[in-house]
This record gives sequence, C-alpha cells and structure tokens, in this order.
Amino acid sequence: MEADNITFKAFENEKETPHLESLRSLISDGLSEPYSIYVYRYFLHQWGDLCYLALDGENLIGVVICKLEKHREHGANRGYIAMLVVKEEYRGRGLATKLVKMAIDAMILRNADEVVLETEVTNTGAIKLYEHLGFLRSKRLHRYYLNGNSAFRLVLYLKSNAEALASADHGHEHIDLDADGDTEITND
Amino acid sequence: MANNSGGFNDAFARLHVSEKSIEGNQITTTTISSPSSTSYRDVTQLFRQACQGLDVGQLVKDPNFTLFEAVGALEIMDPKMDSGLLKPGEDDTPSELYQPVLPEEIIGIMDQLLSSEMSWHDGAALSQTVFTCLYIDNLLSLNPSSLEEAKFNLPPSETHQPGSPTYQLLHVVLRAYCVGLIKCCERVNLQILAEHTYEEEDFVTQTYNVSLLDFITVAEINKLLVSAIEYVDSTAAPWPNNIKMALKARLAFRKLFLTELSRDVKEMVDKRSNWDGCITLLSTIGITRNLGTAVPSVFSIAVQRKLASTVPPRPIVQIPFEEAFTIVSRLCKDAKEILRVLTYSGATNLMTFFLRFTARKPQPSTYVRSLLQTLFFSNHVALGRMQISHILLEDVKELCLPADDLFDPRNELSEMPSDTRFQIHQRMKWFVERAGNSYITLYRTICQNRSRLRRNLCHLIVDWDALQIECEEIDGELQQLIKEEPVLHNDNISYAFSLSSWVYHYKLRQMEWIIFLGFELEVYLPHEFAGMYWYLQYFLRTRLQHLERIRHFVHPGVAVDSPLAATRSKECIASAQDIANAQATVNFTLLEAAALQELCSAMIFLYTALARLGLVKTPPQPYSTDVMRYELRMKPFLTIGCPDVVPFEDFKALVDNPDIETIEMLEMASENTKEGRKNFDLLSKMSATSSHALLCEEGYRLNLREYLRSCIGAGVAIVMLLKAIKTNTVADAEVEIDQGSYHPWFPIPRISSKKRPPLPAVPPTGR
Repeated sequence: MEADNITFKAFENEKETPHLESLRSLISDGLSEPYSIYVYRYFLHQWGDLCYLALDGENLIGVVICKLEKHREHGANRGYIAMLVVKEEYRGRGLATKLVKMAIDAMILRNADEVVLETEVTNTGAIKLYEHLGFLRSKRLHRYYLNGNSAFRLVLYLKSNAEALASADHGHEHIDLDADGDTEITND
Repeated sequence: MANNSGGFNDAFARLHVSEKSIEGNQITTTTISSPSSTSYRDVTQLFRQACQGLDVGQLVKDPNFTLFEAVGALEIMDPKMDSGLLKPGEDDTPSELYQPVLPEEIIGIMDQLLSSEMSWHDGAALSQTVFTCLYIDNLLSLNPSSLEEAKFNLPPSETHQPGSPTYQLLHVVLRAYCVGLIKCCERVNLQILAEHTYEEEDFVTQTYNVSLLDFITVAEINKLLVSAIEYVDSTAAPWPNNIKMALKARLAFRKLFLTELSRDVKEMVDKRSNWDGCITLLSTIGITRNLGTAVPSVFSIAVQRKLASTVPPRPIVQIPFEEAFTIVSRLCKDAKEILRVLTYSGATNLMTFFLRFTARKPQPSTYVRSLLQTLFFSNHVALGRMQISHILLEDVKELCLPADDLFDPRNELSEMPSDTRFQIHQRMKWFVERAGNSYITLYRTICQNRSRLRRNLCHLIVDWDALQIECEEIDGELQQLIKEEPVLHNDNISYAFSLSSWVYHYKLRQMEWIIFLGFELEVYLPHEFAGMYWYLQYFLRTRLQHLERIRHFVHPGVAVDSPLAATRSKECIASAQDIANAQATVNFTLLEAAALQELCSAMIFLYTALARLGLVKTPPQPYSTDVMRYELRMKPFLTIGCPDVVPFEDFKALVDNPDIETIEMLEMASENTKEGRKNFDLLSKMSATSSHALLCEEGYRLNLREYLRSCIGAGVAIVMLLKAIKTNTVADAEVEIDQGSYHPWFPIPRISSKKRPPLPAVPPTGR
C-alpha cells in the first residue's frame, strides 16, 4: 500500500464502466443508507464531472459524488456533496479532503454559489474535515437518517448573497423537497 | 447524461401508441382480465426491441424522475432494499407459531410487547416493532372487523385443549392484551395525525394498510380485558398469587392506558383523567418484571415481507424493558402534567409552561407534545373551554396593558361605520385574527422537536416582523381613535404603540431563542461562540431598552374630553391592581433579560480571551471568507427590519475588542458573571406567581439553577485563565467545551493543565 500508487481522477465520461460496481460496494459498505442503482445513475449521468475517484493502482479506494444545480427557480447555484467514502484502511491520509477539494474546485469553475451536504452528528471525522475547509453547520436535522441518527447540514458559501443573486440565471430544473427551502434526500 | 437516444426513443414511443397500431405491428398481446376489467398487455418483446436502440451505458431519464424518486426506488433482489428477498436456504413457509404453556412466558411476551410499543413511540416504525410480534401478526392477518374475529388463529395443540388453563392463557389472557395494545396504537396514531408533527422524523404513523382494529370500540375491548382479569382472578386459573398479580397488573394497565389514550378534551377539562392509575399499575409491572420469561421466537423480521411497504427492510427495534418502562412511565407522568394547562392562570404562565415543558431533557414524547397541542387549541377552542382571542389579549395586557377603550365590550355593539367604537372594534378584530394565527403557530411550534423548533423559528420571525409593521399602523390609527395622550419619553413626545410593542417583544425573544437553540443543538463551533453571544447580548440589550419603553407606557392615558369617556363600560377599566401587575410583569421580564445579558456579555469576553490565548482555535478554512461565513450565520436575521444585522467589520471590532487588554477583558467578564449571578439569585427568590411559573415551578427553578451553574462555571474558567496568564502557564493549558454539565444555552470551557487531569465540572446545585 504505497501512497505513491494512489491516483485521483474524475469519473467523467466513464459511463457505467468499469468502476460503477466497485463504487457501489464501496459506498454500500461505508454509508448507512441503502441507495438504489437509480441514485447512482441520477448523480453520475448528470454530474459525472463532479464525481472523483481515488485509486490505488486499479483498485477503487475512495469516491466523492456530487451535483450542482439551481436551488429553486431563482435560488442559488447550489453544489451538493451526496456521498463521500474512503476505504477504511486508507483513512487518515487526507484522501477524503483531497477528493472534496477536487469536487469543490470543479464546482467553483462551474460557477457554484454555495456547497451543502448532510452528515451524521456522530461522524466527527467527516464534520471536522468539512469544517477545516470552511464549512459551517447551519442546522440540525432531527432523526434524518433511516437508522434514527440526526444530521447536521453543513454549508459553504462561495459567493456572498448579493453576488450570487446578481449572477443568477433563471429557468433551471430544480428539486424542492423540503418545506423550508432545503434540498434534502429523505428516504421515505 | 446522453442526449442521443434516437433509436430508443422511436421504439419507446411505440409503447405509448394505441392498441390498434400495436396490433398492426403484430405484437402478441396477452390480456389478463381482472375484477375491474383492466386489461394488461405483455410488452416484453416490444421492450426488448426498444432496448436494441440503446448503447451500453446510455441512460434514458424522464425529466420528472428526480432525486426524490431515485432515493425512493427499491431494487428487487438487493438484500438491503428488498424486504421480500429470501436468502439462500431461507424458507418462506412460516414455521409453526410457538404456543407458550407457562404463565411466565405470557408475562415475558407482554413485556416484550411493551418494549416494542415504546420503541414505536420512540420513533421506530410499526414494521420494526409491534408488527414483528407473530401473535399480533396472527391476530391481524385475517383483518378482523369485529371483536369476535379478533382472535388467534392457531392449529390445535395437545397442550392447549380448549378450556384448559394453557388454552385460556393464550386465547383469553394474551389475546385480550394484544387486542388492547393494538387499539392503544390506533388511538396514539389518531392523536399524532391530528396535530402537527414530522412523519418519520418524530414518529412513524404508517400502518401498511393494516387496520388497527378501527371498527372495534374501546368499550368492547375494555370488556374483553376485564373478563381476562376476571379469569386470572378465578379459581379456574391454577397459578400462584404473584403470577396472577403480574398478569392482572398488565391487563389492568392496558385497560387504563387505553382509556386514557381515548379521552377527549372535554373529559380532561372535567378532570376525569386517571393517569395516576396507570402510574400505580406500572409500578406493579416493574416489581413483577422478573417473573416473566422472554420468548424471543415469537418476534420475527419475516413479517415485513407481507407488509405493503415502499421502504427498505428495517431491523427489529426492541429497546430493553428498563428503557421501555422509563419511556412509558414518563409518558404517563407527562400526559398528566400537561393537564395543568387546563387550569388557566394567565397567558404568561401558559407560555412559561410550554417553554419549560418542551425544553426538558430528554424531550417529552411526540405523543405528549401532540396532545399538548390539542389541549392548547382544537376545534376552534383553546384549553377546552376558552376563546383564543381571550388568551391573546390577556398576553398583551399582562405585558403592555394598553388603553382601556380598546377592550370595551360596547365597541362590538356599534354597527355604524362612522362610529369611533365601530372603528376601534374593526381594528381589534383584525388584530385578534392576524396576531391570533401567529400566536397559535408559536405555541404549536414550541411543541416541535428542538431541531425543528429552531428551523421553524427562523420562518416565524419573518412573520412576526411583518406583523409588527402592520400593528404599528393599527396602533397609529387606534391612538387617534381613542385620543391617546402622548407622553414624554427619552426627550421625545410619543405614544404607547401597545400592540406593536407586544409583537416586537415576542419577535425579539424568538430571535434570541434561535441563537440559544444554536448552542443547545451544537450548531456553533467554539470559535464562533464569542460572536454568537455578542448577537444574543445585542438582541437582549435591544429588548431591555424596549421593555423600559413598555414600562413607561403601561396603561396609557387618554384625553379627558375623549368622546368615548361618557359611554365607557366600567368592566373594561383597568384596576390599580391590573396596572401594578403589568408593571410587575415588565419588571420581572427586565430582570430576567438583564441576567441573561450579563451572562452573555461574560461569555463574549471569555471566549474572545480564549481565542486570543490560542486556547480556542479557528480551523484553517481555505474556502470561503469570514464575511461570507458571517452572512451565512446571519441568514435568519438578514430580512428582519429591526434590530438589523451589523456590518461585518463593525461586528468583528465589537467582538474582538482589540483595544482591551486580555487581563482587563477577563476582569470585565468576571464582573458580568457576578452581576448575572446576582440577578439570577434575585429571580430565584421570587415567588412562582411573580415569576409566572405557576404551572411549572419545579422546571422553572431547575432552569434557573442551570443558569446559575453556568455563571459559576464561567467564573471558575475566568479565574483559571487569569491565573494561567499571571503565572505564564497558558502554554500548558487545555480547553474542552462542556456541553452537558451546564445550561444547554451556556456551554462552559473546562480549563485544565496538560500536565494534570482536568478538574471536574461544578457539582449539581441542590437537585
């Protein structure tokens, strides 16, 4: 397991081969929520360029999956980090931070106004990672996960409100699942 | 996502064409007739044909297939998602249901069922809890529509000859208990669905189309339970007395619990509740707990396969009996306690009760918080017998005591639009409706879980801000109608603006709660503490000034020549006692706000000093900027007219106080903690009546003690920091934020030396 063998790349034009299956099992082992194939396709086919892989040789050892779209019709151009997993034996080497940074940098290039995500309140490692990049906890979500755990919503502003509004263009598809204006994946 | 899907699109489009053209393409159709005469067509071949037009990896996505659908989709044959999946070697034919022979086993099953039931109350789904009991499943699987049908369907067994005690154990005792428990679940579901709670988050009301004995009355079920008790009591039941007692206590509890869960508000107003009966029986259940023998085999996750569910399989949740016992005991005590609100003793007392009751740790159960909402307001009636307008106007009077003429009952009698009384009435009617809605929403919001409370308050303040502006206008019109006498206040001639003053006061309190809850919910990081306490201090200072103004304008005078003077009703004229009461309320509120403000000021200095000394660190934060993070933090308040958000540079200077030496800063913080303590001590000495804590004195005093603990804790931290600075040992110091031992709104830094173990937290004061 030489650190030198570890490479990073965008999922981009890979379609579903060759990493989709290993990606699914990596995430399925690492996260508590079960996700259907549709969830992966939803993200990877629309925002494959915001998905980054960490590889040790040919082996997939880490992944970040994101999206970027208008939050409500006149809202901010909101980046969303949906999943972040690094294989247990590779943790503690800053791989996750590197993956997240690559995703945020790509979002910045694509004119994102903000980046948001949710994480379990007990996942101190992930919370610390994001907070060390500049994220703040904006709210707590009671019993957000299927396993009954609560979440923190973490938010990173990339532009100030005024700037974001000035650069907003209209008429984009949007997801609005939550009454108070947040995109939340609720498993129901 | 690929756009080029031409070949597929053509073929796909044909799936939608009419039957005729399908026939034209000579597609074999298999029609399956169903009762509703819907015809089905086999499209396998067409689908295969359509797929030919797709490249590998190419995706066809309907624009309406959103993340919500993707997340809600289940994948068949994936064990994490497919609840019907049989693992290799697993058999779908249910093994024969074990039929207990010992009364101890029945006690055990009853207690396991209680654990399941309370796991459901605690947020798990029925499919993970009550429904996993094979006896409940057996009883409900034939969808009973009458009591006779609500029975176990078990194969004959040699050990269970009809009429034998073992048979009766199952078919009389356990059956009655199960029927009672299912009905309890139905009552709880009805209550929760009647009020505002968050599905899946607070509670899962989903029943998977299984009827929870909806058609069987509580009276019938109570009879069934009584006859089971009678059987256990009879000589036909050959068990020792302690076993009999254990069984009877469980059956009797079920009967009383069901009765309480079925009460309507009117019965509660008539004081017919008997939660004490439940509590007494619970203690017997606790004592006889060890007589039971658990029978784990009668609970199975396999039941989930049969349930009409769109969610992935979820594991069985059955909390330990001790935990379930605590939850059910607390539920009964809390349900009894909330009946206190029916003894109305003024609006401020009512609000204090809501605030204290819902802030309790752990928070009262969803069921009880839902019931509290019903007690407060249901069917257009408040507290089972009052008009909400009465409570609303009392709340206004208790704090601001506006001019008498606003409340004159004669106003309502006037029908002439040009008449002053008519015009006053129109405006007060508007206020009651407009503010009444916001007022009811506020009470209901306070009943939500703490995370939702904070989020919803962020929305409520926008409404209260608008309400304030609208009320200012109405106040202006009212002061002319009643010929209010202006008063000199802060070198200005001004009027009372009673209604908008009351609204503004509530708005400020809600703004404070948003930030306080941020601390309670651990939304802020230690390096943000100083800034967030600065905002609290700022809101509190604004409220203190506002309260001073309110005190100045309590019961404003009107011109002697007011046209209303001659016809004024005597009953609307405030007594000297009313005026004294309003002034006392303002004074009490001032003291409380001042105490909080002192403690907040101490916290600003303390956490700023910790940052300066490098004991509280800001993470690197390579992305975004401080200005943007400030904007994010202030988001709930950005649209609020008054008080406004201060520019970042000013904020930074005000929090950092670069001109003040650290030692001096800590000494100032020390003064603030002492002042805060003095104020909290004064508050502790006040009676429950003066504190408006008549309905919740114990909880109110506990809260005060927690504030005091935070004052003392902050004082200790300040002393240790000063000592470290003076002895040049700051480099050896370590800081850990203690969220748990103090008031949840005032977490305290525990300062210790890296070389020595940390000092314990301040011990609890007089609990």
